[in-house]
Amino acid sequence: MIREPERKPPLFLLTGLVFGLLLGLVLTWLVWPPRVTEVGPANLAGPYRTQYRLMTALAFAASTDLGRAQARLALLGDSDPVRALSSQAQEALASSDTQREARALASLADELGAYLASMQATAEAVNTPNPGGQTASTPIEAVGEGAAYFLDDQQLTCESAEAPPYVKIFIFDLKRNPQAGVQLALSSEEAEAKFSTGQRPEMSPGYAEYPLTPGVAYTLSIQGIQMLSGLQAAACQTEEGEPAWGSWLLLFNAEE
Amino acid sequence: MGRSLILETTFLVDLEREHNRGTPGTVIAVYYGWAVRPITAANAPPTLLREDYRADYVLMVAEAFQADHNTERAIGALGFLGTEGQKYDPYAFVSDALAFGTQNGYSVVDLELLQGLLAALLEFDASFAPTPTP
Repeated sequence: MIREPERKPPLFLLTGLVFGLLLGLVLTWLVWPPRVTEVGPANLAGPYRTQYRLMTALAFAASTDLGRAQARLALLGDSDPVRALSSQAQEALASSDTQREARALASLADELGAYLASMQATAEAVNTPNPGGQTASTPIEAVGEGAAYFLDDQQLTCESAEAPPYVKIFIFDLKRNPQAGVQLALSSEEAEAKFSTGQRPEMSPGYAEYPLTPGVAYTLSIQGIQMLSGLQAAACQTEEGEPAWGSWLLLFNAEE
Repeated sequence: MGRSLILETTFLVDLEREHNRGTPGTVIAVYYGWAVRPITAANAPPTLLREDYRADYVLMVAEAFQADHNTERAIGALGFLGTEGQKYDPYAFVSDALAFGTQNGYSVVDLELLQGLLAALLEFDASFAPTPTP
């Protein structure tokens, strides 16, 4: 009886591969790492990050463009940009030569802190269910199919007897961050108005609003897809009991 | 003596085989280590900043300059982009940022800010102007 030789799995191939992988990684990460020529502000050394933050604050002091300052600070990757600004302002305050810098840093810290707090408060307010919302006199129907967003909440707010009725829209992306630049359209039988989120960044980057004419029914589209129809200004009563036109507060979230 | 020679030869042959088998792994790892996931620089100096970040830094200087019109201060702030301990050319930094902004759709307002800073640098010290090439 002839016994066939036992076949061994080709482990030697695997050991060679592993050996090669290790050798390659040692070469590329330790011996000859690629020469880094282009980095972002987050990769800067400590003192340079400080200077970058300071320049952001000085530019903000001149332009008062909070959105731009926020975007620049985000490049530094600070876990808490407000705290980083505040502590740098404290350090600058210690020297009489850097009072201007301290003021600019503190001012940006204050503005950014207030903005972030208001954004958080807005998101909380909009996400709070309104038990009275369903009794609103204006029915709103969702009509969109294959839409990138869905209506998560709707409320009729009754702020003041003098204020005209508005549709106030908040749009959040998949990560539930306010999303700027989303194209919106409100169309009625007579006209169509196009607008987008982000035009009132002091409210929220994902916020947009448009005045409603009482008695006119509108259809709301987001990114060209119809989302709601029968949107109308609705009558309501203020806390003081005065009759008023209410504003529709609509919260849309991105579909997953 | 003979046994030692055989062992040494066997070892060298094994090593060569191992080397041949390891070649694909080395190639994969080199590609991974250099192209897919290269090590990133930490504690980098601003001279390594990418072009768009450099241009935006210059724009920040131009924004601040618009408010205080202090050219010396602007020149000092532009020193951030130079190599530490070496002479730097603030005009070149602003000029490069202006060219980048023009090519990459900066707003008219931003381009005007950069142009304003460039003009102020020349006014401050005419030697900043680039030497014309014959």
